[in-house]
Amino acid sequence: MKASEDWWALWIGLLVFALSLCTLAGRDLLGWGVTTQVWLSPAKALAPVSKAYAVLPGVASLALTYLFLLAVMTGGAAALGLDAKRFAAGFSVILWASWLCWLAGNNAYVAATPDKRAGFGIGWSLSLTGEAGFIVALAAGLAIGNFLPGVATWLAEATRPEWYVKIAIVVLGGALGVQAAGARGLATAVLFRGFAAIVEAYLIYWALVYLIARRVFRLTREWAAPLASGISICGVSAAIATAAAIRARPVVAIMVSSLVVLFAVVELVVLPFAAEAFLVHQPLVAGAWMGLAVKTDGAAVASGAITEALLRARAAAAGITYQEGWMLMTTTTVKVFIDMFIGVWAFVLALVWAYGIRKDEGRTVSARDIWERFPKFVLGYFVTFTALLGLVVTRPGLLDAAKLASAETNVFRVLFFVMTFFTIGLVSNFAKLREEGIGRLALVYVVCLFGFIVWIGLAVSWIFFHGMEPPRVG
Amino acid sequence: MRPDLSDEPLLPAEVKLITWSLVLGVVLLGLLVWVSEAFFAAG
Repeated sequence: MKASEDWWALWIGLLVFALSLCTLAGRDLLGWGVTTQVWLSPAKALAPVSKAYAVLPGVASLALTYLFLLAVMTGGAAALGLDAKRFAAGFSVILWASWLCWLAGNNAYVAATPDKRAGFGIGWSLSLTGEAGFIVALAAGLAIGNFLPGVATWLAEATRPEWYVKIAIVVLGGALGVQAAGARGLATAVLFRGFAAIVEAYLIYWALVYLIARRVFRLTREWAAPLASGISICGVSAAIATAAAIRARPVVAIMVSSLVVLFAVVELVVLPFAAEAFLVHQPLVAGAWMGLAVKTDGAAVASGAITEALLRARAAAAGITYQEGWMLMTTTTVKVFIDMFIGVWAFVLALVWAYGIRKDEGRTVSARDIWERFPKFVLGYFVTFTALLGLVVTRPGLLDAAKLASAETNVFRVLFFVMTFFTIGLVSNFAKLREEGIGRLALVYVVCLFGFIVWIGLAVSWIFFHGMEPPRVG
Repeated sequence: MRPDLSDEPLLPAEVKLITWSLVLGVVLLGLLVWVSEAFFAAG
């Protein structure tokens, strides 16, 4: 089997998921994983996730979590053909730096929502919830990536935001499955509407961006098609798949991908706060918007997490407690559907280019091309989602064990998310924007992204998700 | 590496791709909204 990040994201995600499922048989194998709680005293910040390991000191729990992840990820890196020693060293730094950012974001003055301040004995807080740690991690990564390029280069072997977020998404599926079991009607509606939203986005986004790139900015087909896919669909993967489908030179995909990554960070910093300002009463519209507008899996899911934190905090201030996870589920649903269709769209473009533009003789495009470009980690998301959803629906007596299993996988999901934010920052060198030759592409990108992609994404999200709310707690 | 400027005219295949994509998008929008409301209600 071909070793790829995609496959190894699937295997590692499923490994964590499978270990967590042992709780269903009364065996708690991952309960030592560390959770980081909102804190005033650092000594109280750490604890094992499961009561079965309550005697374990928080620091020991953290050390075990690190060693487990180091072993699994280094094994995966070796299987991918990476330099295992360099990866292990870089991964260790990234994990610890990311976790410290997460810890900082969980400080009570940063994270505590208004209803929790009295419990901590504090009179004010930023009310950002613990997810503020994501923003801290992004800022730290950006600082290193832009001001300490030597350090960023040293960490390069383990700087793999897409790998980390794909593992997180596989793991996330199980937790969302447990939640969806409690509100099956809403979950089904989110799934279908997410599918509908991306069908619309694909058909409208790509055609408009391509038309503008060709007619207004006069780019050649070789540049316009990957750029249209990169801006309109899902960033790096779509740009690379499209470039391959139309047989563009490798440099085209590389330059478009650089732009995608850089602008995804801009979106990640701006759009969740825009959603907080304007969509506080439409939480699922906000979640879907992040999935449609923010490019790259990592930045999109990260934006969904920040958006959820911001909107839940605002709702809590108004006395409404939304069940956690629904906005993120909407973002993730939209994103995985987008990923699923990259292969199909690349297939369509390959046909058009082969038979309508290049008119290649003897060129055939097979269904195998679709499968090769299909993002395999998406399978993992659906497997874990449907497995726990089906389990809890058919055997309600296992609900508590399933909740513990999802809490245990959540330990690793959070760590992979934080590492995603940190490494997105590391790879985002804004000086690249000033490089000669990328200016015109960047201009197309800015015009299309902020001129209509973001707004059409908002309109499509509104059409399919307005009026929908996560279940309320209490 | 500077992106190439183009005097490449839009070929009929490109025009068809753009047109079909947009037309299908608009038509499906109506259909998908109807299916969403009819079978996957928000409430």
